[in-house]
Amino acid sequence: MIKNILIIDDEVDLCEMVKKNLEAVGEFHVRICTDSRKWKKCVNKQVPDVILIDVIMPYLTGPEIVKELEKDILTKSVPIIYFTGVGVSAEECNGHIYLEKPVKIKDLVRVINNV
Amino acid sequence: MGKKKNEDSFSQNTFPNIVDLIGFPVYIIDKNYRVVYVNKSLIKIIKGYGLRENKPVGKKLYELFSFITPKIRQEYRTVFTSGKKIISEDVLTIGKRTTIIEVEKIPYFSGSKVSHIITTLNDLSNIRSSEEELKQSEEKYRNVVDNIGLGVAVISPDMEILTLNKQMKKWFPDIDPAKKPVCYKSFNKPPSKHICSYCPTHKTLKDGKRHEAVSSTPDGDSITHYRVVSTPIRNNLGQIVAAIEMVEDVTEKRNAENTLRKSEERYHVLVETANSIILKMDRKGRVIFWNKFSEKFFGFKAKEIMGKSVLGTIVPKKETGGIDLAGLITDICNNPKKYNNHLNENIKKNGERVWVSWTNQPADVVEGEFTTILCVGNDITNSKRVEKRLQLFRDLVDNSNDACYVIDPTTSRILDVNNEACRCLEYAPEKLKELRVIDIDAVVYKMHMWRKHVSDLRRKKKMVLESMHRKSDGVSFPVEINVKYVMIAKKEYVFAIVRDITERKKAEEKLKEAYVQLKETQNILVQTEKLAALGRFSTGIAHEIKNPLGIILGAIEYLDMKMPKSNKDLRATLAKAEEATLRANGILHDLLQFARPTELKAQRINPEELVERTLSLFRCRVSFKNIQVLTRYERGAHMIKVDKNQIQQVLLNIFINAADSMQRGGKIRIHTYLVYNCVYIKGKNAFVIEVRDTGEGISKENMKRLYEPFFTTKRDRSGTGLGLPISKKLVSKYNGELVIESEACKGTTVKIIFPLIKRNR
Repeated sequence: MIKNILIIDDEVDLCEMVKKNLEAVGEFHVRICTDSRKWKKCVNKQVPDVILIDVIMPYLTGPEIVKELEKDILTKSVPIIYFTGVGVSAEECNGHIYLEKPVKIKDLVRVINNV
Repeated sequence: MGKKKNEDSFSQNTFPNIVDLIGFPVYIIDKNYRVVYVNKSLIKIIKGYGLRENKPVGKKLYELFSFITPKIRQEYRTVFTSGKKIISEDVLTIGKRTTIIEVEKIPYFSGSKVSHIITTLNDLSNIRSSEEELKQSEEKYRNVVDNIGLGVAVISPDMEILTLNKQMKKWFPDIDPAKKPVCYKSFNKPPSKHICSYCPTHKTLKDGKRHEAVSSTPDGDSITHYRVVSTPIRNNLGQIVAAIEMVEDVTEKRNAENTLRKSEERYHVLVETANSIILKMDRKGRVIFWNKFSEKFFGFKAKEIMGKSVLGTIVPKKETGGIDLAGLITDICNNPKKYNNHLNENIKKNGERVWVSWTNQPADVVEGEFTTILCVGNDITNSKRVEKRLQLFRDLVDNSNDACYVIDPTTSRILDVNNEACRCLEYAPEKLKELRVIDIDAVVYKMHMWRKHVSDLRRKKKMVLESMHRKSDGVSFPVEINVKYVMIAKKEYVFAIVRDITERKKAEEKLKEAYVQLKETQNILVQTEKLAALGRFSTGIAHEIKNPLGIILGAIEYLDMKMPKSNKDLRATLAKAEEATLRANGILHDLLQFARPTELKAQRINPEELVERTLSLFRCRVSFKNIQVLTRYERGAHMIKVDKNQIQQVLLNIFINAADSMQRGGKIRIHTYLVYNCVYIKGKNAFVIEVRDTGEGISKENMKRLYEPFFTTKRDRSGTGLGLPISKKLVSKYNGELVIESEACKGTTVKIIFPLIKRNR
């Protein structure tokens, strides 16, 4: 079963690379949202199985978006993996998994498969 | 009248007795030369002359006296006729004796005619011989008078000089008594115009008494003093005819007396006005002289104390210090010379105690034995007080903590020192006072140096400087000298206070060392701070760097996936690129860890599980080269409350360090156990993770720097020097402790100690 994955990150090249690697490794369908303001549109278009989200982004931060996602019944149960260059406080993580950039594709796949 | 008088005068009843009393013979005859009266004296003489008649009255004169010569008869006739008195001398020869008689024939008038003649007989033979004798004796006396050594002068009532003896002539050679000069004009030079006021002769001539005076006769410029005794010379009638001056030159005597009196006066004044106690006491200690100052000083009037013993009046029986003064006084009375200069306590009338310096002298020597003691005293209570105060000051200076020196600036000679100076330099005071500054100073040790030093000092007046002083044994020590230039009574002095600063120097050295260390630490801290700043900076850019790293890593992995497995060369290249990327990421990670206080995410956790998980990570990251890991876990599920990730990082750090210390392989023993009342964490129960390796160990020097940030021994740049500091910081966050024990070549043991929490599941 192909997993539907949404990456919300303002770093276009990084998103591209992750998408490329994930799709090369296994059965993933990866979408990319590089504008934090358009996250809702992306989510609403198709509810993803897993969301990879950056913490620090222009306009809206990762945790802010995650709060919104948690409110929505549709997206409430979607696993969220923070994907960040800097550490995230426990409060910010709010029980979600976080991975520190750069991350090996093997580790990423393992985490996605586990959630 | 004449007749009546005649009858009355010659009545034998009226006057016989009176005429009888006259010592010389008298007879009276009438015109007929008949004797009408003879007195008793005549009868005596007549008998002596061998008179013929016992009853001469009524007899004719020539019948009566054989000596009546015709010459005498003729004289009588003349007296009758002329009525004038005739005195004649006749030589009478009675028996064998020849006598010269002065016969005085005095006419007695009855009316205008001479009726009777009164005849007096005066035996001159005696007088003549006595005159002769007188002449001889006068000669003798004149000799005596001339050689008497006294001046003798006879002065007439008109103050004329009648005679002078040899002595007077010697004194007044210019005076010629023959010219009868006036005395006051002659004796005085220059001549006086008036009779001298004191003149005893003048007084004697007036009242006939003996007078005496000392004249002050001017003799040119000098004054000669004569003691003049005047006695009157009287004639037969008792009238004063002259005065005899007995003159004695008393100038020398007078001068001597004057000198004596003056000196006596002077001494009297001296004694009475002296500001010293002057008293005399007899050998029983009784006061026999007491001057005014003594009265004033002690408060006893002379009459109060005279004759009383000094003991109990001005000398207390016991001195304040307890010395027995009664014994002392007895001793002074017996042996004053022993107490020639003596200090003792005295007491005033009002009870005030005073200190007096006495000079005692034996005096009034009688038959070789002194009878009195002359005591002269001066009140030294004040000086004693001042002395005490000075002594106190001296004692204080002597007992000062600092050495004090008084120095002569010209010679650098040490004039005075206190005890401390002697103690410091280990010299006796006398010895030290023989030395000069240049003998004890190791810096100013030549005279020209001293002169330069003094000229500086004269200009600046005071200086504080450091120098070295030499002890008697030649050992030098550092000193601080506080030196002052002073002028006292136009004399220059240098006053120096010297302090031994050996200890201070040592302390300064220590301080310097501490300062150096502090400086080092500061440098480290500055460096640390710099790096911390760098860390903060890197936090800001980490995100930006990590993204590109992510892209690079992703790209490598993608290429790796797509790369045919056969192309080993390309794959190896990619592997190196990946490794480098991960290393860059690792450094970035460490930096962030160090710089950024990570939020605690403490959770209850089983430490064994933590170790196991870390070991699996460790095995992934480190390539083992003959390293064996042995684990031994304490039984039972104990829990600690920590942030899993952080402690995992600590463990990983320690595992990596252990592995790195065993480049040639070895064993890592991991042992977990419980310690009750662990000393490292304030006696709480602890859970300990012990990691022991068999590596090269840590040297002592390096042990000190274990927790120093960026200190590393890993030469291949694989370490950042942040591992242990971070670990320590993290462990202490959970009230734990990191203990490292190591010995070079024998391996290292690291104990990670956490407080144990109670199981509540």
